[in-house]
Amino acid sequence: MATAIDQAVNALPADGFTVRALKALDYVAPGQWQNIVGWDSTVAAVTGESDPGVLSQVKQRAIELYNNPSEGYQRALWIYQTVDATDKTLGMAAMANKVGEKIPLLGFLTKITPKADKTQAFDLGVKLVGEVAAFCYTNGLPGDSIGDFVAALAAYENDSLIRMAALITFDGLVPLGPDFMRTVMDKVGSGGTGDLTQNATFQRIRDLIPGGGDNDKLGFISTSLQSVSGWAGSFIAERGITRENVIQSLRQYVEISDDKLDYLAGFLDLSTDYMAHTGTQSVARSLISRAISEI
Amino acid sequence: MKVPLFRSFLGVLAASTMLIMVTGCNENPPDYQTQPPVSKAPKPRPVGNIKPVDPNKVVEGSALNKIFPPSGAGYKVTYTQEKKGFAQAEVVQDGKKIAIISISDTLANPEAKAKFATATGSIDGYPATAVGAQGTAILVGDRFQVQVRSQSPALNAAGREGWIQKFNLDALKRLAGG
Repeated sequence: MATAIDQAVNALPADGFTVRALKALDYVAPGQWQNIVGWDSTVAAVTGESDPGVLSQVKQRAIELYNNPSEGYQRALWIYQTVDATDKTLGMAAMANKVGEKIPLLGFLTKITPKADKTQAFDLGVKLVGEVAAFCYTNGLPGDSIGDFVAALAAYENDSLIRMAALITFDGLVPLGPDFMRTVMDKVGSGGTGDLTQNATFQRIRDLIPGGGDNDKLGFISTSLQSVSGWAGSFIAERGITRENVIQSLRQYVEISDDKLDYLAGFLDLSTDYMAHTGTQSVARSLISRAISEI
Repeated sequence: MKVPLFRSFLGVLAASTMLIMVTGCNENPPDYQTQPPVSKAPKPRPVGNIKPVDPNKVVEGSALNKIFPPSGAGYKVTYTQEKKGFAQAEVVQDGKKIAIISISDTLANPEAKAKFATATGSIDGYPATAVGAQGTAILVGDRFQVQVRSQSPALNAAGREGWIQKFNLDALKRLAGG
């Protein structure tokens, strides 16, 4: 199962390429994501309290709730950590050395294979469904209620909002262009369970996706995509997000030449773990908010 | 499985919000530093027949939702968490989050009752106490804790007290077996 929540939050980096890539999306939701890391800092920030006695009670209750598997927080954290667990062939260590410098995409081309549209479509679909499931494990609501999740999307903020922004830009807009939702729905809709079961992201989190068998799970993914497509379209339109301005913003941290844009999505996929990073923050936030309400 | 599309959900939400806000659109926004005038409060949510909970079983979160104040009079109440023994919502006014409000079943966390034993305050006859610097809580029926936590400097202790009073405390007392 997932790591202990306080350990997971303590392990979050204050800087690094994931953090920079997410900061490149700040213009999409200015100031929303503050990248609070460390268990003590997170408890203080979420509760708004500073009294050591109160903070100690909150931490104790939060860990107690987390440690009870039936509460769902462990499953949620596991989904966020696992959905991002690709084989990081680019080497996170190599990234660490480059903190402070722009990463030259050119230096990693031989290690990146641009994904076929179908693979990219399924990846986005599975990550989205992972988000629905993790959200429900964290916050409750019936486990397969997409309607409730879509309603909650409108209230997403902080780490949850930046994660959805990254999902639809890094995993949607950048690799597939402005018509990405239609492409994704077409590919998933016309794909079969064979395509689904071959998808590496799906294989990792298959057991926690609602649905009795792979047919049901594929159906759930299709329905989720349809339900979220309206939100995704509005999110992009309202904030004036384009593929070009996302890439331009990423250029603060990555040297990207125009003839190598095909490799950018693959690079982001292999060099960031934004689902795990912000997902950990979101689970912690809900857990701590509940703990202070219950002490 | 029936799945409402996001747009149609938004349409329903927009229509119901407009209906609720019509009654308040000619008045000044309520001053949430003090208790809101009772006459302008929207009607409580329908609670139906409240049966007392089993004294030995933690209540389902869904049973607590009905007790929350409804949206209206310039503010929006959105549920954010619902687990066994716990339900939580956020209150947004003029686009700003002002409070997080919750009900928890102390059967799941009996230590929470200890602070009420020495509480000197009361709200609507229920023992009341501060929770840190940002929260105010009461204990209803020796069972359910209602807490309001400020999310904006504009909501002070008096404002939090006003929000506690907006819960359907009579129904909650009946749920506790009182």
